[in-house]
Amino acid sequence: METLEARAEWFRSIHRRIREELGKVIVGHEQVLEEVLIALFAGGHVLLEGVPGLGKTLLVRTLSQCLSLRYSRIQFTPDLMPADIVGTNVVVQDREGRRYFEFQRGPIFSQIVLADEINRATPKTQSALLEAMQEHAVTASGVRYPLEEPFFVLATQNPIEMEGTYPLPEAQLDRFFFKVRVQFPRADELVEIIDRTTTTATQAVAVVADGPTILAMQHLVREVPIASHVKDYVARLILATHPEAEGASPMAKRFVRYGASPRGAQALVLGAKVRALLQGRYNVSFEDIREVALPALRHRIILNFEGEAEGLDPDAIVQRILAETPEVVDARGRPVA
Amino acid sequence: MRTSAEGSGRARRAWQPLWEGAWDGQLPRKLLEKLAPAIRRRQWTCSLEVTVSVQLVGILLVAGTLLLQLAVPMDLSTPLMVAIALLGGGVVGLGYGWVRRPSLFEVAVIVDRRLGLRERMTTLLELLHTQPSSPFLGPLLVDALSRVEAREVARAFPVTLPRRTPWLILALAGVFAWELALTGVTIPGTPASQVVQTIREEGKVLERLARELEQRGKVEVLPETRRLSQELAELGRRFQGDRLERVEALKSVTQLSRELDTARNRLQERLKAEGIDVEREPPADLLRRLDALARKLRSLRESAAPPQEREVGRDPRTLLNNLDELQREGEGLPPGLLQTLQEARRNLEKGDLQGAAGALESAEETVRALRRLLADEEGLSQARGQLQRSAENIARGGAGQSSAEAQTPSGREGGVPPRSRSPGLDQGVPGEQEPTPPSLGPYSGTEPGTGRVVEFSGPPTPRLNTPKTPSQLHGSPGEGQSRWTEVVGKGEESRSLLLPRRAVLGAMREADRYMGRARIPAPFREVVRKYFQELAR
Repeated sequence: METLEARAEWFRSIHRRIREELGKVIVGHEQVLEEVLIALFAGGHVLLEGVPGLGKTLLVRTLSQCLSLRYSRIQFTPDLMPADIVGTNVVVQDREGRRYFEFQRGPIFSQIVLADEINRATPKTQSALLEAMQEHAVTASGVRYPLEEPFFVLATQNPIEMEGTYPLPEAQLDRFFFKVRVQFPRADELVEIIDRTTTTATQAVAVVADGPTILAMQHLVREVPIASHVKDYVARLILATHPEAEGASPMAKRFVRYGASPRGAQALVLGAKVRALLQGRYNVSFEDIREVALPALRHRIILNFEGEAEGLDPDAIVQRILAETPEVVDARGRPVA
Repeated sequence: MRTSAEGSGRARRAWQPLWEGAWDGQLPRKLLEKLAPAIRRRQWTCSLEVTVSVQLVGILLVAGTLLLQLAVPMDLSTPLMVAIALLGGGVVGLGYGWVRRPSLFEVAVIVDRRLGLRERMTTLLELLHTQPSSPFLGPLLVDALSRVEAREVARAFPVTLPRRTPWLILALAGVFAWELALTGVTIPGTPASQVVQTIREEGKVLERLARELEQRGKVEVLPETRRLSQELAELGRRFQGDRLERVEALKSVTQLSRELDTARNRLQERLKAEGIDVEREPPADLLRRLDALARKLRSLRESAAPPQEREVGRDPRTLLNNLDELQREGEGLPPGLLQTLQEARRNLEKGDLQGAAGALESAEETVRALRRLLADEEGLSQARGQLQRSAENIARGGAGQSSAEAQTPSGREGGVPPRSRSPGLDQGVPGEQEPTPPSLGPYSGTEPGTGRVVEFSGPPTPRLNTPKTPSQLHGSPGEGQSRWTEVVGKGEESRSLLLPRRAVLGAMREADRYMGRARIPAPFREVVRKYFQELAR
C-alpha cells in the first residue's frame, strides 16, 4: 500500500498537471482556477460570476477535457423547463408495436455540467438542479436515478444584467460550494489572450485525470485531520455571520438578513483541507480557513435592505468577520496568544 | 512536567498510553523533550501573570480602603496593606503555578502560533489522542519535528513582564502618592472627620497639660517631668497640626506612654529604695504628709538652732515633746529618716542642741529629696493618665466625651480623677487659667454649617402687595388647526406648451440620473424603471 506521503505527492502532481493544462488555454485567472480546482477536489459545485467574455465557459470546457469526464452544457433561458435538464418519459414503440414510457435522460446526466447563465432560467427550472447538486441523484416520475460520480456542476451568471433574470434562491445558492468571482484580466493578460485567440495556433489539452482519480483525490481530502480548535474557529466564523447569534459581528447585525448555513462550515473545512494538501501539509491551519472563507461564504450571506441600499459587498462583511474573530479563544471566550 | 523521559507531569501522563501503543517511543519523546522547556516557561509566565493580577486586585482594594477612609475611620496601615497585597499576590501566583500546570495542548497552541507552525503541533497531539492509528500521524509527526528541530521552542514564551505590570506600578504609585499627600483628609461631617477632630482636641489638651507640667517642673525642680513634658507638648502640637490617622496617633500615644512608664518605674524604684511604696499609699497623700513633715522639721530645727542670735524656745523638754510628736506622725516614713530623727532625739537628750539641729537639717534635706522624687513621679503619672484618656477618646473616635470637654468647669468635678488633683497642681500657674470662651452671638454657630441665617427684610411695601399682572401666556404647545382657502376659477381648455413625450422623457432622464445617484437595491431599481416606462407609454 502506498504511503500517505506518496498519496499526497500524487495529489499535488495531479493538481499541478491540471493547472498546467488549463494554463495552456486559460490566460490568467490564477485565483479562479485555484478555487475551481479546490471545489472539484472537495466534491463541491461552483458558481462563477463575471461579466460576459471572461472565459468562464472556456474554463469549464477545458476542465472537462483534461479530466476525461462526460461533459454537458445547459444554456439556461427563461423558457427552459425542468424536464429539459433532468429528462422526461417519452412514449416508445418496440418492434412488436407495444408502446411504453421510457425515461430519456437529460443533460444533467453528465459528470461535469456547465449551467451557463443559470440566473436566466425561472426558479422552477433552477430548482431542478437542487436534488442533483445535493444528492447526486435525479427523481423523475417517482424513479430515482443516481448520477455518475464524480458529479460537478459549474454555473455561470452575469452580475450586472438584471433584466430578464431570476436571482438564484438562497437554497440554490447554498448548494454551491464556492462562488468564484471572475475578474477582468490585466493588460498583459489581455495581450496574451489576443495572441492566443487571433492566430491559427491551437492548444491541445491532454487528459490528466479520470473519474476514479478525482474520486480518490476527494477521498484523500476528507482524510486530512483538522484540530478541534480550528473547527471551533470555523464554527465561530459561521455564527458571526448570523445577526441573531450571540457572537455575531456588529457589521453582520447591521447589514445581514441571513447568515451562512452549516454548508458554509462544510465548505470552509473541506476547502481548507484541499488547500492544506496542496500546500504540502497534513493538517488544516487557520490560514487555510481564512483563504477559502471568501468564496465559501460570500454567496451564503444574504444582505438586508440596508445592506443592499448601501451597496455593500458580502466580501466586505466576510473580511470584517475574519478580522474580528479571534482564532483561538479560551474557555471564557478570550483570545489566546 | 519535568522531562519526557521520566514521564512526569499531568500532560505527559495523559499521553502515555498513546506513546507506548502506536509508537516506539522515540519520536514522541523527542517531541516532548522539545516541548518540556516551553511548558516550564509557560508555567512560569502564567504564574507571574496571576501574581501581578492578584497584586493589582489587592492594590486596588487598598485604594478602595483609602477612599473609604475619607468617611469611615479604619485603623489600617497602608504600607502594611500594600505589603500584604504584594505578598499575597506572590503566594497566590506561586500556588497557581504549582497547582495549575499548563496542558501540553495549551502549550502546543501557543507554540504553533508563535513559531508559525500552522497548527501542526496541535493537530499532531490531537491526532495522537483521538486517532492514534491515523495514517496521517506519521507524516504529521515527521513534518512537525522537522519544523521545530532547528528551533528553540521555549522562545515561543519569551520572558517578559506580565501584561498588567504597568497597571500595577501605576496603582502602587497612586496609593503611595495618596499616602504621602492625602493621609488624614476626611469628608466633613463623617465619622472619620470626627476622629480627626477628636485627635486635634486631644492634642490641645495634651499641650495644655504639658505646659502646666513644664511650669511645675521648673518650679519644683522635677527633671523627669520637665523632660517628658516637652515630648508631651510636641505630641500635642503634632496632633493639632498634622493630618494624623487614628492608628498613627494611637501609636504615638503608646510610644510616649511607654517612655513615661519607664521613667516612672525608675522613680518608683528609687522611692522604693528609700522605703516609700507608692502602691501602698497614694502619692498625693504622701506628698501632703511630706510637706507637713518638712514644715515641722524646719520649725523644730529653727527652734533647736535659730539662724540668728535670737533666743527662742531653747527648752530641750519642749523640743523633745515636739520631736516625739513628729516621730509619731512620721510612722511609715523611710527608716533612714526615722533614724535621723532618733539621732536628733539622742542629741537633744544629751543636750547637744547643735547636733540635734544638724540631724534635723539632714532629715529635712531627706524629706525635700523624697518630695521631689514623689512629685516627679506624680507629674509623670498625671501625664500618663491623660495620655490614657486621650487614647481612649481617640479610639472611641469622638463618640464619647473628649478630654477637653471633661476639663470644662462643669466636667472637671466629675471627669478628672482624684490622683490628678495633687497639691502641686492645684496651686496652678498664674495667668495659665483657660479663658472662658465668649458666649455665642445670635447668628453664630459653633461648627461650620450650624450658624443661622436671619433675613433682615422689612415689611412689604404697599406696591409689592398689589396683585401681579401676568406678562406671558403659558400653555402646552401643540399642533393647531390651520385654515386654508383655495380660490378655484373656471376651467379653460388650452394646449400645453410642452409636448407630453418630451416632458416624460425629461422626467425619465432625471429619474435615471437620481437612480444612479441613489443606492437603490438592484431588485427595486427595475420596478422604478418600469414605472417610468409605463408613464412614457
